[in-house]
Amino acid sequence: MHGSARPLACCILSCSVIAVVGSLLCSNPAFAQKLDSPYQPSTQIPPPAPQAAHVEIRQEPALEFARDDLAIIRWTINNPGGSDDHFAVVHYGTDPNKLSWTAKSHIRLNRNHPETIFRVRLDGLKPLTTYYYWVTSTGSDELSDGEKSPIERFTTPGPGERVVDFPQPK
Amino acid sequence: MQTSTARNVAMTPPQCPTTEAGAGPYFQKEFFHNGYAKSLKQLVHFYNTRDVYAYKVTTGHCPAGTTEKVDCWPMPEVPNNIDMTTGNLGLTDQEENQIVTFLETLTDGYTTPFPDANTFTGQCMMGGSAATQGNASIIPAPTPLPPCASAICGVAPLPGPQQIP
Repeated sequence: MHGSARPLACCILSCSVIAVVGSLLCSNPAFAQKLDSPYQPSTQIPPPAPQAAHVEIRQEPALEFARDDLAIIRWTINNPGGSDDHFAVVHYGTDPNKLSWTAKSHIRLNRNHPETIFRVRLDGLKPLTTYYYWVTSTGSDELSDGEKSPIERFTTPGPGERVVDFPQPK
Repeated sequence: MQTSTARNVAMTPPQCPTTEAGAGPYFQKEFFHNGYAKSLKQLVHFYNTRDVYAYKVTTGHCPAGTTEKVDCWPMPEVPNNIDMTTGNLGLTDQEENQIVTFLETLTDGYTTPFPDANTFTGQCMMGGSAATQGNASIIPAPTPLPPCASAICGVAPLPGPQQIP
């Protein structure tokens, strides 16, 4: 009983002290002025950039890297404009007539760049399996930018093997 | 969470004058959220080659013939927040070094608000070489990794744009 009553008394005492100190601080003109500082951190998201009149794929999607369980697809489009937040989207599957799986990567567009490189990871793949895919991109509203690639394909290597198709650092 | 700036990223105590591998004390700081990168060169090399040398291993278990943080990057602990803007930049070794040199120029020497900044009482990291990349201090992770919590790995990669609170 005493063990539980003592912390309660301490809390009452300390809480009272905190309240008094707090009220003193708030009534202090210097402190109050600090709270009323004209500086306000910007929390505004800039309005979307103008959308490109036409979005096209400049470099066709291709395999950049593959392991027995992972592949990275890479392609380039002209800057689509619109919301800075964009998603690169790969629709894929093992049946070219049923590409029902989707992988996405988020990217923030650089408004000053004429082109945008998209890279998407496909995880959970099976070794020595051919996958078919097509790519597109969307804004933050998940509406397509309008471009769509033809159906491409790649084959994952065997366990322990790796495919690196994008130029490595020299 | 807001990203911190790179100001003073290469700042070290005067007794241990560099974050980079080389003669004398080095690897004085650690980078990333968990201190995985021991030097700015490792940090830049990670963003440049993470997806080129991606191995299906956990840290401390890179295949024989490879060196972790040089030509082997273990798998991520959490796949949801991988930034695919980076990972295979195609930079040369010289270009990596130039970025490190730039980062080192962000050490401004302005320490007036922190008069005790140069009072370093610890020990400089010593030994090792650029070839070993400080890997002697790696604590091997369990293989396989414990399952990722659904509260982390069960959510979509990123929400839409939102105001910073």
